Amino acid sequence: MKHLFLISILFIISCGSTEDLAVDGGSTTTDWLIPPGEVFDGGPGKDGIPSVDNPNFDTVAEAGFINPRRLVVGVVHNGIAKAYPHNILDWHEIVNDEIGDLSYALTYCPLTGTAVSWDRMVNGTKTTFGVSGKLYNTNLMPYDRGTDSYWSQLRLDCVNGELTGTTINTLQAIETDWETWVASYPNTLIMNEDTGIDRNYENYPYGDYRTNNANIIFPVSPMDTRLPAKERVLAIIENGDNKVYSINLFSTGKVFEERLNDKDVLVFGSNANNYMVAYENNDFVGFRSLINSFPAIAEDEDGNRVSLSGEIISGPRQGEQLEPVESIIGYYFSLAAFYPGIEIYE
Amino acid sequence: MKGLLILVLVFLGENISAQTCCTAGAPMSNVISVHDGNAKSLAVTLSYEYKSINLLIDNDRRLQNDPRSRSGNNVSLKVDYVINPRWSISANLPLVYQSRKTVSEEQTSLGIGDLNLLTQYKLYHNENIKLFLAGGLELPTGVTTHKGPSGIFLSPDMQSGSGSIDVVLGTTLFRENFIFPFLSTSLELLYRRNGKNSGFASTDNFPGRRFGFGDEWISTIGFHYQIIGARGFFTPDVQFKYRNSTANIEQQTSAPNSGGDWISLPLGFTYHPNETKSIRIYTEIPLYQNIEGLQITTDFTIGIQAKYLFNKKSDY
Repeated sequence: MKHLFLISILFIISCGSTEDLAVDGGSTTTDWLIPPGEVFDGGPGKDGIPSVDNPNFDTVAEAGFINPRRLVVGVVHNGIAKAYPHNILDWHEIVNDEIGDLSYALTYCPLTGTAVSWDRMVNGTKTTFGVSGKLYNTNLMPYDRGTDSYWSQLRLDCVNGELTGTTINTLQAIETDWETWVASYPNTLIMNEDTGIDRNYENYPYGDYRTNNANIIFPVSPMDTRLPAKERVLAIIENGDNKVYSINLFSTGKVFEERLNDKDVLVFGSNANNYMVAYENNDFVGFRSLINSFPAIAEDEDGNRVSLSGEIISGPRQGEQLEPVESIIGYYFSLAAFYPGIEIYE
Repeated sequence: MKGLLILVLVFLGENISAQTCCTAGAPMSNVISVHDGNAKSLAVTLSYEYKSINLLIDNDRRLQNDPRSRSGNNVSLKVDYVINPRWSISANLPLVYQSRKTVSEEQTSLGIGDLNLLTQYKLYHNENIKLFLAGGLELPTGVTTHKGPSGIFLSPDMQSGSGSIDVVLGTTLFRENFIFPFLSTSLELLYRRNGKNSGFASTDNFPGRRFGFGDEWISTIGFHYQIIGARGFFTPDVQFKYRNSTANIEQQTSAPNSGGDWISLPLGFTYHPNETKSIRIYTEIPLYQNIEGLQITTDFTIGIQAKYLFNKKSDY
């Protein structure tokens, strides 16, 4: 039993000299563009939430019945439309995909309700993005697998690693419900549940998080309480001339004309049809919302009709494309935290 | 034979098995107990436990293809002191090593865990039955500042300690000669109220995050059978354990994907070469889980304990 005492003594000595042995498989630089004390380890670890790197899609016919109120994030490029259902994005947060020669990462943070799509060509090199497992202001931080640099989804830039300071080249991501999307893009493809990863996609993984304004899992600073935390808003991010629009403003359909960052901006939205999109106005006059006239969502005084993705689909200027302005849909608290003092449209 | 029976009393009088240190959200089992023996006796126990945490469960369904792998290793030093025939006390300090692997990283942490202090009162006893009450505290001596090389605090379940003061209450009913000689049974009920760490990952410029592990109820029924050998005796045991945990607390609300119900089968084997020494090996196998949301949980536990008893003079 002498050995027991010897081991005990060694144990006590080892306790006294305990050190942190953490080993990180990714970025090892402690230089951050954001306060590192406000970055949190979400728990699952890097790639513990697996991105979808080889998504599979169904046609509308193949998909069969989908709840018409199910939220999707849509991407349109060269006439091809793809929809990514929230219930799959909730579990994976990032889809690395492409349409033709366009390679993009569709990132979605379930804790801030924000979807941002961006180009996977970074500094001339195509990369893929994964879920780093870290959160800043309770928002997703993707990492790129080329350099292991960490990115902030809502800051729209790289905040740690070799690519620090590089800004995100965003692509338009349109959030709406399935009924509106498929009415707008009948030939759309929709990502199916064949992700290669075993998950129960019918379960929402965060309980009452979407509707409980008091349920904020990780610290947020500053916490702006001018609107309810989980109010669904569209934030226009225009070089400091930022503004949010609650979906409740839009009722069955409205168009707001704004002047932001020396740009004329059109904000189209419908609470009933679950969409908000914003475009730069190229001398169109008097847009008014259309109800249940998909794929058109609005028409101007000259009879030009515009689609969700900003294409003039009929009228004298048919074929023109409205230029999207930087905008993100998400929970109010998160956008207000990333863009402090953001103006609220009233 | 009388001496052997005394030995059985000495070594099976281990009560209040509670969870202690935070091992990936699945704290150590079978380490916290309060020795029940002769007055003025002192027992020292050195333990090692390994937890493999690789079961990915969605409510009650096992999922495949999880990119994560977790494990916890704990070495624990425990000292028990029997004050008098009714009162005894115990102190347990673990050293915790944890590992979290994914397809693209491995993170580990090593540090002192939380100090567990327990006291036990023998409420009733006769020739065959003992009834104990116990209570204690787990103090936040553990390391809660482990960081990765990028300077970010590891998650609370990768820390060696909880940063909170926890309360443990329990009772044990122990019956010898149950149904037939040399078979004993024990029934344990344990409640653990976990405090909240209001300043987890705090820095000079940031107040940190409020976090607390969920409160727990643990019920265990065990059967122990004594086998007399030429060089001491052997005690195999089998237990059925039910554990309920409420959800963890993040900030002000219940954290998703935490808490639930677990049923497991602890199996052990103890060798007592004489009255002062014992070595126990054990394992714990999950039988059923019904948990909140998606969680990675323990698929097996193994452990070994070596115990030495000072002042073996019997007061029975």
